[in-house]
Amino acid sequence: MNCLRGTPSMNIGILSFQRRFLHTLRRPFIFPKPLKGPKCKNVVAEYEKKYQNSVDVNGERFQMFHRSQKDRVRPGAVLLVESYSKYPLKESINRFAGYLLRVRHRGPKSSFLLRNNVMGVGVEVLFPIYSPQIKSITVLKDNGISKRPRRAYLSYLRQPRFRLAPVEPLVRKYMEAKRK
Amino acid sequence: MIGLKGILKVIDNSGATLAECIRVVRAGQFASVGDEVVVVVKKSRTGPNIATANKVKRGDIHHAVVVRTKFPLRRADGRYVRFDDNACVLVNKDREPIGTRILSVVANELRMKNHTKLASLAPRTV
Repeated sequence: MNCLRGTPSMNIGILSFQRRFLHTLRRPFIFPKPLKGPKCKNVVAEYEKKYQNSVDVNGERFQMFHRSQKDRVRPGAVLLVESYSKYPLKESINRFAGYLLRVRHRGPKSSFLLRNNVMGVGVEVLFPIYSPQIKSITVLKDNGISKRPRRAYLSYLRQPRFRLAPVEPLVRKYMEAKRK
Repeated sequence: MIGLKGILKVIDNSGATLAECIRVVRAGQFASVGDEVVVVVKKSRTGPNIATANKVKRGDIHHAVVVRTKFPLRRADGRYVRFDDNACVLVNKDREPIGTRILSVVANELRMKNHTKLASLAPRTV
């Protein structure tokens, strides 16, 4: 192994190659040079940032949901999500509105949970925040619950004794205002 | 995830209200939305005029298509949909519904799994 020590490119190769197979290589073995890429400690974080910037161009979704933002959406708010049902065709739009139960912070895979009562059945949808299939997320009401919720995950709203006010009238108001 | 002994709400007007799964038709242990299931009718609608109008009685064995699950369903863009209960619609061997109307919400997965008739009968899909 003396001939392989000393050269910088060779040292990188040895670290990635299993020790027990080293003797089977021909000598001198020329290890491939490392590929060009971002020079940073955490490559995954760089690519996550890249994805987030490509989907969330003006930083709107980040401002709406991230923990560090002062004017972020709080759990208990009523949100309306408009999404393309046949992405990448931007034709038919699907609408779902509901109470925000929680925001799940996982970088580019962050998601938020909306709960609504559709025809008497409770429906919960977990939307990825940075999904390009989502056209827009609008806040219909900052706090749909009478008291300010003192929790980050409002799972107690699933219990039958918390009857949430219907969301349909808010959606209708918003759609009428939009038409004008 | 409906398996043996799983209880499903019946949301069509065939007359049944609760059904218990006795067999999942496709290979595997559990059924999801859009899968066919063999059920026994556990409860049917009662009443003076309703009982005679029912197409289906307690104890009957029918096929059914699962239409809502409490277990979250994953959509292609990474969103998950979950309902508060498990529900089904009774069908015959040709996958046609026994009832004539569907009374409640239904998952969109039915369209992808060739149950377009059920999806179109439903008043609302999510």
